[in-house]
Amino acid sequence: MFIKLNKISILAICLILFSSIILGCIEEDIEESVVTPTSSETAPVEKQTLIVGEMWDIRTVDPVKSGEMVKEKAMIVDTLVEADPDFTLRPGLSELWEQVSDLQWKFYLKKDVKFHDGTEFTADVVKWSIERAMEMNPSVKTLTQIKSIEIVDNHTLLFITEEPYAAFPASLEYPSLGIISPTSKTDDKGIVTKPIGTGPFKFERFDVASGTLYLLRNDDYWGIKPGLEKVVIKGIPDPTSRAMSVEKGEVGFTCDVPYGDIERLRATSGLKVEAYPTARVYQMQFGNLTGTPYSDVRVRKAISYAIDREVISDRTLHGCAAPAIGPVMPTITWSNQKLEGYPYNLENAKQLLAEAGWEDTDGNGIVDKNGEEFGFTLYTYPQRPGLQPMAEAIQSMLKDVGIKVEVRVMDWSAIGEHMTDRDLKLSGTAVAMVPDPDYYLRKTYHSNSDSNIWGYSNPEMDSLLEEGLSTFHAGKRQETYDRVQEIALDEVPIIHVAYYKVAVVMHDNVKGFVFNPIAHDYMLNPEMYIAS
Amino acid sequence: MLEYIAKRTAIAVFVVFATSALTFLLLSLIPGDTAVMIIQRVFVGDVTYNPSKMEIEAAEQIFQLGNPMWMQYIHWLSNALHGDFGTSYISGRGVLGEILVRLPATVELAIAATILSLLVAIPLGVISAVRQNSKVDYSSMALATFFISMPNFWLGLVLILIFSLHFDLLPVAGYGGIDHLILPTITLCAGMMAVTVRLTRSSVLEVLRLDYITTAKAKGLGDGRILYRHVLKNAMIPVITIVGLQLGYLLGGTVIVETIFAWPGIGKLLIDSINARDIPMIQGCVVFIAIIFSLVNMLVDISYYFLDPRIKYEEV
Repeated sequence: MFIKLNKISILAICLILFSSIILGCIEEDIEESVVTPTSSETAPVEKQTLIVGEMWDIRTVDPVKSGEMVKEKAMIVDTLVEADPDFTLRPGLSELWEQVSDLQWKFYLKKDVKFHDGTEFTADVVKWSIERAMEMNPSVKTLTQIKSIEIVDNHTLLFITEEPYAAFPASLEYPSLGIISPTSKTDDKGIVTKPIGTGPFKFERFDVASGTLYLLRNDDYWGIKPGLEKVVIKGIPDPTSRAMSVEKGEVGFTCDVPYGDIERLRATSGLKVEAYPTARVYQMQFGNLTGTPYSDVRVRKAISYAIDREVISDRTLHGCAAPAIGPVMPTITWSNQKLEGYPYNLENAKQLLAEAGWEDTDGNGIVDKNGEEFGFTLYTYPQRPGLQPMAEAIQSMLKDVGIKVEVRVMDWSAIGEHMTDRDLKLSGTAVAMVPDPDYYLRKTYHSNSDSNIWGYSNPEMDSLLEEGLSTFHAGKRQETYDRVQEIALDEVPIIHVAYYKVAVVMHDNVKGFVFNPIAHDYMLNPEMYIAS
Repeated sequence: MLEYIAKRTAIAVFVVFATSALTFLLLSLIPGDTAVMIIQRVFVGDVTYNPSKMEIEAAEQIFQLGNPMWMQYIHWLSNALHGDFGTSYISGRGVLGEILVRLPATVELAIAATILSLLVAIPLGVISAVRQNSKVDYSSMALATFFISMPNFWLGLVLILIFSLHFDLLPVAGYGGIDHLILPTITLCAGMMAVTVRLTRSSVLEVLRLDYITTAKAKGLGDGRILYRHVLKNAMIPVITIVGLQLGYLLGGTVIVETIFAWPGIGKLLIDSINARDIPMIQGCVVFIAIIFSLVNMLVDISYYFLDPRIKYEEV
């Protein structure tokens, strides 16, 4: 009897192993068929399928709820205005726009555009689609400042803004403003379940359970002919699983793999790994600029000089960051190219601290003033993997100038309750929600801003930022923002540490990809194809 | 018996109700303003975004957040009793629908893991008991200790490394055919199996020492017959209890394994909702898990009655 039981268990184990081997082989055959080479330069149509390992769970296909998925990744919808990788605006669904008055903007729509189901692309549809977004997503109204939309003719719209708003055309690039047709299928709550757009790819189906989105090429696309025949986007939220999926070939394109895996993937044949800077900056903000050691600009400068940004970018973050100068990375068209920032300089840092009265009088390695030691807690949050190692690196760098730092990691929303005026917060903050300098600079440096909780106030800065809002001449506007960035760097109310980089991993045969840093995470483009 | 079932049902209903109230209370203690969090995580997709007062008011109106917490709870409860568990902030879909869509994946994984665990654990446990202190016993003990101490996320990744990347036999992650099921099943099963083997062993050992086994041997019954008719039946009660608990736990979704293998189950839905502060979805998932857990526990308790006629519920 006992031997019999044994046999059964051995049999069961054999059966499981055997079936797994068979199934494994079947799976392998399927994968092979996607990447088999052919003689021509591009693989034939039936091989043009790209499987994307997406970093978030895909929960909805309504562009208002998930604009970055439906527009940037799935390419189902287009916006009226698009942006190049250097953030220069270019025509999207609108071929031309002109400013009528301080508050009025006229947009001329492209005429040869049709929705995926053949519905005419007209001014009525655009008005409906944008108003729907404003109603469902209150942030759209804040970002666009739209007061009302009027139809001039079948292909011309007049937008009226609440205030003079030079950033208006750029704000129409916001992905939640992707234009959908009213014929898009919705559920009983009015949420789009089958988006019908004008983009290079058509919605085929969305598997809610597994969070997989299937797309088909739109042969009638108004722009260039898309290279890929099919795109499948599946949510793989675990970064390690994403790395292994692309290594095995289950997905052909993915991003944000663990920093520690980048070297290994780079060494794997058949894979390309590239870290691209995005419009997000790692920054340190002070608890309060009044009534703390940070009210002295020399202290703020000293801290900035004490941070070795090269080491943080190259070593701590494995190359997934670039040393920051000012708030805006130099590849963005509106960045002030003349700025030099605060290159690592321990001597400068120590001297500035000494000038501000912070010196190590008792020889314990920590600077003090009036018997009080210089120390603070650096708060950060776990959602972005680079933050904690970066905070720890800053901790050890500031120790070298005699500042004692304690690092605490907690949920973003909890930090506010713990942080005191004297503490600092390290975050990865979006620099361009829309491709315009106003968004980040005004929210960070204007004394009235809801974000400016550290209390930075400079009347010149305030008036420059207000001027930027109502200056419509591009050259003059650039001068304004150049000056803003100059003052920002000179007075360091915020310390910029590094520019965020996203690591994109794809198979060698995936070609034509252009990284556009305006994307929330990454953006696919119609030029992509699979080479033989 | 019927009275017992009625009593158990009443307790289960109370447990579910208490769980829902407690979850609501705990969710209301999350630091930060709910409307602000929805704007940051749902509308803008950036936690560092600072919304204006106008945006916060609009969000409060869209998601009906203006009322005090207890009123929101009463409102939720009365809707829930009518089968409406609210709407997910993120997807805009009904909470119940979202859970039901993911139920098959979770059930599939839970049942596969339980079956595999029983298939391996019970024979191994019995053999270890019958051949106490033999090589089989020691190695099963060593193996069980090893599997119990190994964390899920580590085992899952190591299995992927070995079977998917090195030997190229199985897919890394995703939901699909039986091939996708194998690695998550083994990962989940390892810990469970280890517990069940140890429990089966000690339970069988205990029964083997009882007088009626000696009697059966004295009667001249064969080993197989004794084991099957007398030992196993009596030794199974604690095993069924623990397997029931494990099944209940698995049916509630397994957060780590589902996340590693991108398995679209309830556990992954729950963790995703927690990350996004999707309060109606968290509430719905927790209540659903409480219902499943209570139900499975109740079924286990009732099954004792049929397995062991000595258990009389009227006296409990």
